[in-house]
Order: sequence, then structure tokens, then C-alpha cells
Amino acid sequence: MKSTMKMPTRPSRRGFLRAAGGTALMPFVPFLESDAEAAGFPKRLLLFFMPMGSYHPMWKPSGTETSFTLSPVLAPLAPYQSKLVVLDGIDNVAVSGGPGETGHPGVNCLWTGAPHSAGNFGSGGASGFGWPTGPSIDQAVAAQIARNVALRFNSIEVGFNLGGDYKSRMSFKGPDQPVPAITDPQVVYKTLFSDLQLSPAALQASQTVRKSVIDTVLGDLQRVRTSVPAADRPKFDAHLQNLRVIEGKLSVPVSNCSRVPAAPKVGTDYPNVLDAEMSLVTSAFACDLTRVASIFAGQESAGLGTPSFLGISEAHHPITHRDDAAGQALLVKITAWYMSQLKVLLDRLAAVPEGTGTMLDNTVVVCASPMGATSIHNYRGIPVVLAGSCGGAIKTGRYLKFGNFVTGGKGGAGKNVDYGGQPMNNLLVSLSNAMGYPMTTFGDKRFCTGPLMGL
Amino acid sequence: MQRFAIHLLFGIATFTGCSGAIDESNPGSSSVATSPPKPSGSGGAIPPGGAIPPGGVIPPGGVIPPGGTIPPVGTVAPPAQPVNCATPLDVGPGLILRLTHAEYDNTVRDLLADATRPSRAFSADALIGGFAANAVAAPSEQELEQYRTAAENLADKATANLATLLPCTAAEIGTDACADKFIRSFGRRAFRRTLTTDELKAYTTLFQTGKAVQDFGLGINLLVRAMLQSPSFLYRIEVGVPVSGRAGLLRLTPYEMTSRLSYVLWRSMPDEELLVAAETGKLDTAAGVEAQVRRMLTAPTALVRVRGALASFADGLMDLSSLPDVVKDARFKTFPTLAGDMQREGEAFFQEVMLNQDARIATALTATFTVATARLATLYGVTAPAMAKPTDMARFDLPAAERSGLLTQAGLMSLLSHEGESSPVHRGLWVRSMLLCQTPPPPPADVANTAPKVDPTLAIKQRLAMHRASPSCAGCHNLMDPIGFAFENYDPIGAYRTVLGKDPVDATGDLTGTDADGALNGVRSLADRLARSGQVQECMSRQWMRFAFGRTEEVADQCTTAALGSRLVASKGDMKDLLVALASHDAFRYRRTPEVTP
Repeated sequence: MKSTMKMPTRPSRRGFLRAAGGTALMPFVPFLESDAEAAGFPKRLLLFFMPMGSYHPMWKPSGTETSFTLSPVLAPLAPYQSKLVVLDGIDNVAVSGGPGETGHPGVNCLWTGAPHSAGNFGSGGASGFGWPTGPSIDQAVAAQIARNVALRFNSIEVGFNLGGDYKSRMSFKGPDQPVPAITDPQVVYKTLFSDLQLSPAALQASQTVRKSVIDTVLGDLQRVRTSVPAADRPKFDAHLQNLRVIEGKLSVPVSNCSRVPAAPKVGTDYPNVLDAEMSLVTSAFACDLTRVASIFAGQESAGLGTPSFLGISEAHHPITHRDDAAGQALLVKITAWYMSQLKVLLDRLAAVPEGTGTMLDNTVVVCASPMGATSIHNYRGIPVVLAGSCGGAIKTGRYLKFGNFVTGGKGGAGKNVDYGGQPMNNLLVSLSNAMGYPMTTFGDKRFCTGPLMGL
Repeated sequence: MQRFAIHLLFGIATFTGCSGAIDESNPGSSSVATSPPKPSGSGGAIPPGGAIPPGGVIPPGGVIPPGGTIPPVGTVAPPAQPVNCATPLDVGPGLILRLTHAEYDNTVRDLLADATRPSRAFSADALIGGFAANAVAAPSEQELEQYRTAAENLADKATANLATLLPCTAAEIGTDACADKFIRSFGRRAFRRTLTTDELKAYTTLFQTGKAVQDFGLGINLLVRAMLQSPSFLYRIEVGVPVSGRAGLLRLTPYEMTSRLSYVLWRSMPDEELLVAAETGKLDTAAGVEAQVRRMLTAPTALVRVRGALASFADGLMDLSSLPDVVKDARFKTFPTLAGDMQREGEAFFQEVMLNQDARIATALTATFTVATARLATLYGVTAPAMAKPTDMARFDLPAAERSGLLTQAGLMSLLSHEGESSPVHRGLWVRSMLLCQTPPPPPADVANTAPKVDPTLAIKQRLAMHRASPSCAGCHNLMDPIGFAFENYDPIGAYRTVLGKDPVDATGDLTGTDADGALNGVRSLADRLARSGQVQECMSRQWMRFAFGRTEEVADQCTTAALGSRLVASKGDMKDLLVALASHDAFRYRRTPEVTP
């Protein structure tokens, strides 16, 4: 993405407002920005989900913490090696703490650090488990940010090849509150940017009547909530809460940010969709519409479908089950492609200048997948790569190895043998800390010992 | 898509009888009786005596343990528990359901004559038992914005022509009285009930706001927008009336019955006649409900709505809506064009069986006709009647020896195949889970349980035989693969084949663990067995319940499932009759509040 104008030296939203020039901006409502958030450049958290893991022997770097060589899978990230932290030996262990099977259901636990609740999605959906028992880190951090600063969106969730099943949800506001990702770039575009394209007067009129409508609907919701039996109320409580968030957003000033992109081209193949969504998320960050985003790059099991665009005629999922050299080579090819896409995302973030650095420096991108030994669908030793220092909070250019995870493969050691790794929960704690919201534990406390050591 | 994942369902329960209307005058009679079970007189699916005989039948909803043998009684949770359905019983929990995509689109079609299917921009529905059902999660912020965008677009279109929208004379348009009329009449249709005093007040205020900001038209516009975002529109709100002496049991109000009926039988809002029926007490009796149900299924004016619901059922049963996302190897050049046709074929065939044929399960499983495009006829090796457009569909006969109802439809066969080869595992699992309601267990947790290495030069059947030689795989695969082998005549896009590689197709297999066990040779032999299986009929009654209630069965549903299963057996699998029975059953007229999860 190319910058079409010189960026302001202080690129807060206020900066954008100024940069875009005066009268068109800040149509109404005093602008509240907390001192904590206003200091320096905003920090952003961006989750990048890669379904079904990689092939660990070809994924793990070699060398020491500060002097390491990227692997065949990670090679596309080489231009950014100094801005990476490769984490080897992270366990998506929370999936083991509840009724969900280890394997694909780990997608629900990866960012929540919380096991599944009891429940039943029924045949065709899943086995006897429900949604995870706590929020995901993106939603938890987004909620914290929302307490301090009024942004247009608390978070934005995008992805592709997703349905309504448990394998298509990774973001949660809390128990029984999955946050679906938008899978159509056109819808993402309209969601993020349509308000920015109205004239100030039209926007103000639109927001005024929207507020009246929402007030009426809130009244309806409260009446319905009171009328139904107590057991039915939590759903309406959550609906009310979400609608109040939307209502609050109507008062958020909307700037005509210089980085509003053109509408994405129509294209439904996954590489095009992902590319468009990565652009839109970058623009949303650059315009400070939100500071938290997630990219769900393929359902946890359907993945890329059959990635014929890579010259592969076998489906992604059966490839992950293979334990032969040819199958492993295909998985390496697929996951290296994911890393090449991650590299494109980093390119875009790095193309937005912020102070003496770029937006990438003020962001932490977290790329992870729920399985480590993919052919046996385990939860140990999952591949995790961080990119960006989150405003200097994370020391980058490092390879951190916890324990001594090795892929057992079929017939190897037991599926989920503990190789001395660190729980994903600890990383989630560190992410919140890096974003400026200190915490000591996240998710299921049984699987969290504090921040990730050495990060 | 990996829709038919290995999973657990409910434990095994046994049944002893099938009456049990709710007797509101008999408080305290709701507990599950534990009297000694009596033999069942109905259907082969229900094991007599409360025990599952060794080598006998796995009941629908039963979990098949690892190892693949029939479980000894009491080894699965909850333990087998005899239930006496002769005493008044509880109904299962009633969930307050948010409209699915299909329901939203059908509803705005009938409410505003808008056929644009706004839900295409919504995040995907949750799935319950294969059927779309938004039963648990509240809409997220993004989903609320999607609802808002749809409501704004719909309101703008509707208010572009006020004369059509408003129940007012030309002279009245523009007056507050006209707005009041509209609030009451549109509100009654949008909320499927009359508005309360508080609501009338709130919407009048909203109208006045719009009028003050701009004009009368905006006032009306805001009313439409708000009502389309109201919980009373987006959810099927069921509060019910407490039943004296029966804690937690609620009788649906007539308006709530109206919505249940219309959203189950039509997947859309009630029509005027149904609302009037509620308002005039015609839904207060089972007979009154039955009369409406028959009208709803057969009236010419209801046809488009019934067809919508039947399409939704077929979509859920066969996962047809995933077809547009299915990818096949490049050698199946016609597939991308045909995938959409296949989805419409699955829906249209089911509609034909239900509305123009005898609505029997056996017909759905064994018919040798279909309703499809000429392009699909080519795939089936026949010539379709002349049609004007390539997307037009007609009914035509198929080669009788090669085809058997929905089982051999190109769409289902494509969905239950890999990109380049057929999948006996998926085909067998689909029959096991969706037609027999049986559930193979998940793989053991800590076992390296993926398939062993295979010799790719072997035929599929030999390769799968190697899979099943592995002790950790054999338990489940013995339950799936031998059924799936009977489908080997159908290639990855459902075309008929007699040769695979160099060898003739071997379509021999086995049906085991059912009440219609036996050797198989080709799908027709499987279909014949399934068509006479009481277990399949019982399972289909469960599928319709899942479709109707947006949840899978619970222990409290045992007598309902047993009663409906028996009814299907008695009617020789007449699913239209089942719908009449379901809609007039107590389970449909009452709800129980769900448990509060800690």
C-alpha cells in the first residue's frame, strides 16, 4: 500500500483529523482520548490464524536465541528477521482441560486459553462440547482499550472459507459469545469505511437517526429481557451489551482519513480474499478505526480447500494427516505460502510511517496454529511467530525455544507428551502486557503460570 | 467440508410406551417413572426389555463404543433408563431461536415483498445437528451492524413507495393517524403479535423523531428500520404461560404457537390467516392446530413458503448449501458449473417427494426420478425434457438400475467424496449419522490414530481394508466403510461408473448394527434395507425434531421421539403425516425453560 500523502508527525486520530484538514472533521461530540492511549503512537494487536499447523522439523529455525537461521517454512519472513520472535515449544494446552477433543477443537482454545464448556453442537457439528469458557485475548484487550479511548470499532474480525461451526470461530467475547469473522472483503470494506465516505452533514444526520432507532431497539430488548424466564436472559444481556457498544460508536468522531482504500476488487479465490482483507485491516489500523484485529485464514479443517493455486491437487486437510515425506513436503509448501502472505501483511504495516519507524513497530502480529505435530493432531509444540515490537515492549530478532518438542508422528511417542514447553496462556498474558494492559493470568489458571518467560 | 465429524451424541435410553399427553391437572406426575419396562409394540428400532441384546440393534442416538461392538447395558452415560411414557411427561427445553439466514430472507420476502436475500451479507448461522439454528450465541457487534445495514436498505426500498407500504388512503398518507395504523399493522406482522402499549408508545415517539428531523417518510422509514432490528423480529420470542403445579413448564401463547408453526413448516413469518387463527382461539386445541398445519402444507398460496422450509430441511440433512464451496480435481471440468444445479436438485427433489409424491421416506430413498437441470441429466446419462434456459429444472426419470432417490444424487455423492476419489468412509458415516442417528465414537485421546501408510496403487477398497486392519481404527471404520462400499459405483461428482482403474467396481458391503442388517451390493440394496428400517424412520423423526426445535434430543424428549417414531412407522414413513403429528404434539405446544449453566 502506498502512502499518498505525508503522514502527520503524531498520527493519533486527532493527527489524522488535522492532516485531513479542518472543517470536514470532528462533526460532533467532544473527542475523548485517554492520556495513556494518547501518549506516543497507538499500539495494535493483530492475530493471524493459520489452520492445522505446520511440519515442525521444517518449521523450526536453527541456531541460538539471537543468531538463528530461519527454516524452509519461515524463509519468506527473512526480510523481517530482526523484527520477529519465533516461539518454539508453545503448548495449546487449554484444549486438554475440558470436554473438547484435542486436535481441531483447539482452535477455540488457542486465543482464549480456556477449555470448552459442556454442551452439544449436535451431529455434523462436533462432539459433546460447547464454546470455550472465556474470552479470547483480542476481545479482552479490545475491551480494555475501549475503556480508555473511543475508537470506531473495538476490533475487526476477517477471514475466509468459514462457516458457522466450531471450527470457524476463534474469537470470543466471553462464554457463549463467539465473534464471527466477516468473510467477504466487500462487506469488510463497507463495514469499515462506508461512514468515512459520507459528507459530515450526511453522516451526522445518519448517526442521529441511527441513535433514535437504537434507543427504540434497546427499549424493546429491555422489555423482552424482563419478560423471558431468567434462564433465557444471558443471551439478551449479551445482545444488549453489544448494542450499547454500537450505540457508543455513533458518538465516535469519524475522520476522513487519507488512507481510506479503494473498494476491493471482486475475487472469491482465497489468495485474493486474504490479500484484500490484509489491506483493509492495515488501512483500518492506519486510520485508527480500531487497534485490534484478527485474520482467520481458513477454517480449522477445511483450511485452503484444495490449494490448486499452489499447484497442489490434494486437499489441505488430508495433507496435514500425512506422515510420508511427500505429504510433509506439501504441508511445508502450504505453510510457507502462509508465511509469504504474512510477509505481505508485514510489508503493508511497514509501509505506514510512524515517527522514526513504521506502524509495524507499534504493532504485534501473532501468527499461530492450534497443532504442533499436525499428522497426529496434537496440541504440543504449536508454531508461533510474533512480528513487531508493539512499541518497544517486545524485544525482537529472537528465537526462543522452550523444552525440546519433537514431532512424534504416527507410531512415535504419545500424542500429547509433555516436552517441557510453555503454555499458550503465558503468551496471551504477555501480549496483554505488551499492549499496556498488565495482567498476571489469562484463561484457565491451571494452564497459566504468568507472562511468557524470556519474552 | 468436514461436516460429519466423529462425535458423541446422547446416551442410550429405552422406551416402553408412547402416549403421554401433558395433563396440566396432574401436578407431580412429570417425573420419569422407573417402573419395570414393558415390551415395545412399535417399530424394530426400539429394543424390548430395556436392554440391548448382544449383537443386537444400536438405538438411534446411541453411541457406538470404540471397538465397534454393541455395548453392554450401562456402559455409556447416561445409563439406560426405562421410561414410562404412559404418565404425563416433561417436554425438552425450548430455546429462544434467532432467525437463520433462510428465515430472515423468507421473512422479509413475505413481509416486504423483498427477494434480495439480505442475509448473504450476514455471518454464518450456527449449526445444530446439521441444521442451521441460532440457539445459543447473541449477535456480535459486527452481526448487529449487518442487521442494521440490511434494515436500512430494506426500509429505504420499502418507503420509496409509501402508497404500497401503508394501510392508508391517499388522503391519509402524511397524517399521524396513518402512521399509527402502520405501527399497529406492520408491527403485528413484523413481531408476529399485536404490539403492547409500551411498544406503541415507543414506536410513536420514534416516528415523531423521524418526522421532526425530516418528514413523514423518514418517520415511517425509521419504524421499519427499528422493527427489523427489534428482538421481537429477530428472535422467535417464547415466554409462554406457566402451567400450574408444573415448575418450569410453560404453555405457548396462541401467538407463540403461530410463530412456531410458521417457522417450522414455512421457515418464514405467519400469514394473515394464521394470525387470525391465533386471535380467534383456533389454535387452542390440537385439532385446531392440525387443521392449520394441513392448510399450511397444502394451500396453493402457501406453496412458496412450504417449499422454502423443505429446501432448508434438505440442505441440513444433506449439507447441500456447502456445494458451492466444494472443489474437485481439474479433471472434473463440469463440476463448477454443476455444483449449484446439484444443490437445487437436492432441494427440488425433496420438495417433489413431499408435495407431489407420497412424502414417504422410502420414496425419498428409492425414487428413480429426479428434478434437475438438463446439464445434470447429462451427468446422469439421460436426456431431459426440453427446457428454455440451462438453469431451468424439470422432473425426469433416471436409469432405474443406477439410481436410488437422494442417496445417489450427484450433490450428496460429491459432498461425500474427496477431490479426486470417492470416500466410502464419509458416505458410510453419513448414512450412519444422518439416516440411522448412530454416532461412531471419537478416536481415543492419546493414541496416534491417523491412518497407517497405504499403497497408493491399490483400489480404495483394499486401501481401506488396510486401515481397518489397524486395531485403533477398525472399531469405527467397520461401522462406516462397509456401508460406504455400496456407493462405489458413484464417482467423486456422482457420475455412475462400472470400472475403477482397471477393475470392475466392487460395490459389495455390509449393513450391521441396525434392524435391517444384511449384505449389500450397490446402493439399491442398501436403499431397500433402509427403506424398511424402523430405525431409519425413528431417526428421521428425530431429524425433523432437530429441524423444528433447533437442538438435539435430550432425555426429556424420549417419549416425544418414541411417539413420533411410532407414528412414522405406523404411517409407513409418511413425513407429511409426521409434520402434522409433530406440530400438534405437546412438545410443540409447551416449552420448558433451559437449565441455567453455571
